[in-house]
Amino acid sequence: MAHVSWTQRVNKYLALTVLTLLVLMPLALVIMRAVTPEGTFEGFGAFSILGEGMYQEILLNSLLLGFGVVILSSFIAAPLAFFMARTELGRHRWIDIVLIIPFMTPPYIGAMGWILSMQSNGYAEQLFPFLAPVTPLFFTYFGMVLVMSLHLFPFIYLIMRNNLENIGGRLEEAGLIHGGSFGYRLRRIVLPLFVSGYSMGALLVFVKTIGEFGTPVTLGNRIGFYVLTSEIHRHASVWPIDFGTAAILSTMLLSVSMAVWYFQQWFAARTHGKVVSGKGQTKAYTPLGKKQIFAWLYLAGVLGLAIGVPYFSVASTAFMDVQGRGLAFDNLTLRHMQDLFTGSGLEALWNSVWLAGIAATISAAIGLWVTIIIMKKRGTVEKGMDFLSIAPNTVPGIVVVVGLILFWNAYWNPAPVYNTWMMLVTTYVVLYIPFTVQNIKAIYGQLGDSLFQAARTSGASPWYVLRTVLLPLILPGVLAGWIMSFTISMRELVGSLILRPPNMHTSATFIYSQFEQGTVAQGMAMALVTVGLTTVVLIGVEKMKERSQRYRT
Amino acid sequence: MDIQFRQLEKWFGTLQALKPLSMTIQSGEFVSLVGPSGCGKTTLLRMIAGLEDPAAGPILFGGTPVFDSENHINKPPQKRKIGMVFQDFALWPHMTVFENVAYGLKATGRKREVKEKVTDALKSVQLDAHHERYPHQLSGGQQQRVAIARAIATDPEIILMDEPLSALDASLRDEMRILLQSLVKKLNMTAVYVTHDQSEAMAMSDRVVVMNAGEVQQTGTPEEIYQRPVNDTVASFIGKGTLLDGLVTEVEEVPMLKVSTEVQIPLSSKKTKGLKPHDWVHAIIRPEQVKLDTKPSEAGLAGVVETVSFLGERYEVSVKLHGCNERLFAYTHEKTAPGQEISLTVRNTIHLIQHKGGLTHEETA
Amino acid sequence: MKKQLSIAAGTAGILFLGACAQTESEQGAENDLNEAAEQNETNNEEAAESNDSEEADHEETGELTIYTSGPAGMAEALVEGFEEETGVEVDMFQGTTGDVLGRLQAEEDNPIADVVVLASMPPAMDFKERGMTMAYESEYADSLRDGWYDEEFHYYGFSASALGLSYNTELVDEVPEDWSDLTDKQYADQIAIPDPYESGTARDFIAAYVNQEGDAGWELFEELADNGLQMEGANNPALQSVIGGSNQLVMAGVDYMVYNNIQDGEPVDIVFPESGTMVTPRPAFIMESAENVDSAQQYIDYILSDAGQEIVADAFLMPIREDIDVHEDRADIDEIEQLDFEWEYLEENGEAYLERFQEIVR
Repeated sequence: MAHVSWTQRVNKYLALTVLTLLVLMPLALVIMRAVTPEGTFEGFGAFSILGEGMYQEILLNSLLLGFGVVILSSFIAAPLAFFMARTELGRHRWIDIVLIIPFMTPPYIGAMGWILSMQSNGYAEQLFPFLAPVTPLFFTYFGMVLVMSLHLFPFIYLIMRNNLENIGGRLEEAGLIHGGSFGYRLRRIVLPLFVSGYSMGALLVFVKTIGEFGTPVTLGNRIGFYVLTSEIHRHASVWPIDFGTAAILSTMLLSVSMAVWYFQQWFAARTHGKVVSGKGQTKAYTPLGKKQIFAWLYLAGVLGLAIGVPYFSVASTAFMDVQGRGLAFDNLTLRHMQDLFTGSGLEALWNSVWLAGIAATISAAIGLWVTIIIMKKRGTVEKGMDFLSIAPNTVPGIVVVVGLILFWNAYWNPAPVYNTWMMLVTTYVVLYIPFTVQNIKAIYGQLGDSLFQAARTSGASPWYVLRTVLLPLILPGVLAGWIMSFTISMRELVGSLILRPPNMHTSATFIYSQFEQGTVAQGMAMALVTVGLTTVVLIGVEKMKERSQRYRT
Repeated sequence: MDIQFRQLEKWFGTLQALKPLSMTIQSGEFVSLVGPSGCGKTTLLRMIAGLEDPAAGPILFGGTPVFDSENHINKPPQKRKIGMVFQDFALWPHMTVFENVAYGLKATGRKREVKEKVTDALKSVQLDAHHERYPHQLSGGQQQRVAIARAIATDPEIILMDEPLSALDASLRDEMRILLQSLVKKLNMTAVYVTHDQSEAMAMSDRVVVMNAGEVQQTGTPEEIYQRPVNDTVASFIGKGTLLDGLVTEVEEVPMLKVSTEVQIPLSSKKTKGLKPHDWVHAIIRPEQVKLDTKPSEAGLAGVVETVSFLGERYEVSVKLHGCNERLFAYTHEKTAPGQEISLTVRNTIHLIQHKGGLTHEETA
Repeated sequence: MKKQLSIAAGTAGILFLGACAQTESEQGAENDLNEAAEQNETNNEEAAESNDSEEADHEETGELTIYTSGPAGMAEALVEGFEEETGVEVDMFQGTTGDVLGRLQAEEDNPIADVVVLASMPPAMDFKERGMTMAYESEYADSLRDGWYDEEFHYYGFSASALGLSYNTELVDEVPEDWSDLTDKQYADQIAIPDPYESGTARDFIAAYVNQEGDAGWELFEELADNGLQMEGANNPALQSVIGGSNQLVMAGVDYMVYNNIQDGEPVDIVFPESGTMVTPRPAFIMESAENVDSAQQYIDYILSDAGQEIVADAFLMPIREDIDVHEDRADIDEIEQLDFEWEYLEENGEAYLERFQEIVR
């Protein structure tokens, strides 16, 4: 095993090169561009704009938003995670799929949905006139936090739930036997074990929040709550275009993300996240009995806010004939749907499907490739690769996108990728490699080395072991990563908007351009169809995943 | 097929996991590697399997090198034609029992033999049913049977076992031990068996290799190892007993071990060559050498019962000797109670682990 | 088992290739496969490249690349009509003016667009000054409205929209006649303006209005801010807020969107204030770096031709050609009072005024 063949080495460096090209180069170029705005190094003087009050306020806004969303989404997610990990609700696995819908919903759609509901004379007031005094509250910082938390909580929920499941019952039983009360057990056993995993979820949500672009542009700009992403977008897309400042702000965003990331790593290393496990773990189970009703009510409440409100708006708008007439049954129409399927919408949708499909497949493949290398050995190169494969997740999407332009459209870059569909695939792959890597890693980490050694000693060649043992066993992880990449590629906006080639719309850019220049109703119709389609694919692959794990039941 | 190593060694960074070792395991021999965790026994086994690369020294199977650093030979595990049983069974969860056992045959292209060989292997581990079940649907013992069947299905001439019984319950362990033992002999395989359980090693093996800190302490038949351990490590690791040291005195021509001024234990019933008064010795007294007498008598050593453990067919008793700080173990069929005054005699020759002649009394005091 | 394998196999070839070389091996088939895959890739790349260079030998790449803003339907109709008429294939990137400008900037090192169409004049003027545009005198140059195109023929404002006061016909009782009417309390907190950060036309309007009115212009903005003027995203979102009823009216919004919505039956209408508003030509120009100059010039000709101008009119925009009538349902250019301003003034002061406006309204 210690013996490293040259094929292995070649393979390793090949993977490193791929990651460098995909991830490191674009990010490095953003930083380069920030310090060399006119092509020559001008020191860090350019960063002096960060001293300006306006930018300090923007940075502060980003941070405030990040913290607010982490806190609120944790509060939303924690009870759900508990219900699903520890109580009767856990038997209903469909809840997991439903809970992912908010995350599948494009954030700008969610925000638009909320705006349409909450604006004065909006749907909320049309249905419940007494809400009129409350709705203006939505158009504040709290509204933004609410919308973004409702979008991102599934993230933290999934991490919390897995974490709770992994803290096996025995550990808690041990605490119980040693006389701990519920509160004491929670504080001394569950929380400490929980916290390092949670910190990863919190980090991701924080980074996603400060890197999110849809909600700040739709809702934030409207209420004058400007954050780094909306400023970067402004500098990158509003006359006069100023890429230098965009790059500097991107670097700032990057530094914030990295600082938080570093802090999380330090924190997680300090806490003992790894549960020392002996034989089998029992699952902790706290039956609720009749009290279940409260859990269901809570779930219904969360789903109502996270899915009900925005989708009600989306659907209402999509099926509304005359927007100015508001909610009324005789105002229903299917014409926006028809327009969608007869016009350029269908093509945009189809583009999204195949682009996302290719991107998810490639990123699952690269994820698999990289994960296998990372998991085999932990050398410096492997650690570097591990970092690179996670980096895009810790960097706001718009920064990655700026970097991708700088790299792929550089005059010295010979690859004919820019301005073709391959650019979009590349973008999605770069943005979502972390999801596939993380998913595959999670499954791979549970497999003992002896499974592979047993195969080797049975006379199987490495290739045969890979094919018959490793791949079938990590297939669920690969599929989970694929689903994740596919889902978010389907709705990816910022990269698609800036990097899409001529003659090509994706579902997300179609929706966005309908909002900006076309018919909002058609945009909403597209949103509905896209999310519906994504859900169907999701369920399909989930079924496939279940089948690949049939041996477990 | 015999297995040979010459000056085989292994380093993990600056830690020497295995000090240079040369030995030959005869064809058809059942050899156990035994020692505390971290002693290098598993590393040695894994090097034989090809799962670890030695730092130096050839490994030969039947005279043919499978590893030879000088000639750059390093056959990967799949080319070594071995069978291996793992501590955690390592059954592939996504394959049925049948598929697990058939794996090696399929992997090596022996597709035509699959059905017959798998059936035979499963029959020989008494697991004829359940072919279509998945591993998680089986009990621990059944899983281990599958693992054994898998290891023997390809007719390897060498079988390597890495603590195969440690994950099983005690009752199952004996049953599986007997199964393994008879199977290995029946199939005439050369077996290398790693365990930290000395009683398992003693029970199964033709030869036992006791290891500690990357070094082989003693190699020999179970009887040799038990009766004549070469050092404290072996003595204390293998079997029960009390290690004692003291000076040799002679009482009526019988050499005695003087443990303290008041306690002297006869070293041998016969006259022993080479033992002179004032020699310093280090010895081990096994429980079966100690005979208890519940009625205190002048002839024996006096002591008091400290603990009594019922072992089913007899009791194991620990006795604190009066007049010194030592404690002897003994087996008895008579029930005794802690605190009971007792006398005991030591029978048979006491095995001397170390013996240094001509020391003065002061030096040893 | 089999099924899983085939699924995995289907997932991607690379997936195996990459993964397998990992496991310890005595060199292997997998590596050859890896290399093969790689070679394949480079072959493809080479093939693509050689295609490129082959075509680059000719002056034209055969496909015209147009970056265009502007109403989705119109941009597409123009391209379709052009393709039909000339047989030239068009690669069109369609987005907001901001999207288009962002792309142009991103591609500065390596320009791709041949023709650019924007919704606002100042960027086109700036491009010309920076020498990034190519002059071309179209055959239709004689019949164009003065001031809508560059005198040196660098850009043509081939279509134009006017900014007006769009209002929700169900919510507004008393239709305002001029900008200053909006200070009336009946419209309090119900007035929107497109965010000048996102809408080039709104931004131009602010500067143009100040150009005409001087300090009085700023006073009006301050009074409007006091009356609850809100910035509501780009043009369309601002108009949608009026249609949806969360605002009564939007000032300085483009007119063609309103006409489109009227056609769809939405309760909305537009008036053009007495004191004058802005007519914004939408400039099209050829990039100095264009590779397909011939087709680009053909395209300029096409959008100025009768056919092109009819498409413009159909989209409720005003044609640049004096001899082509506007859509029958919209206000004619003569019916719209125009502000008195200089484009140069807008270019000079636009940015400073934008910030001042932001400070007032935010």
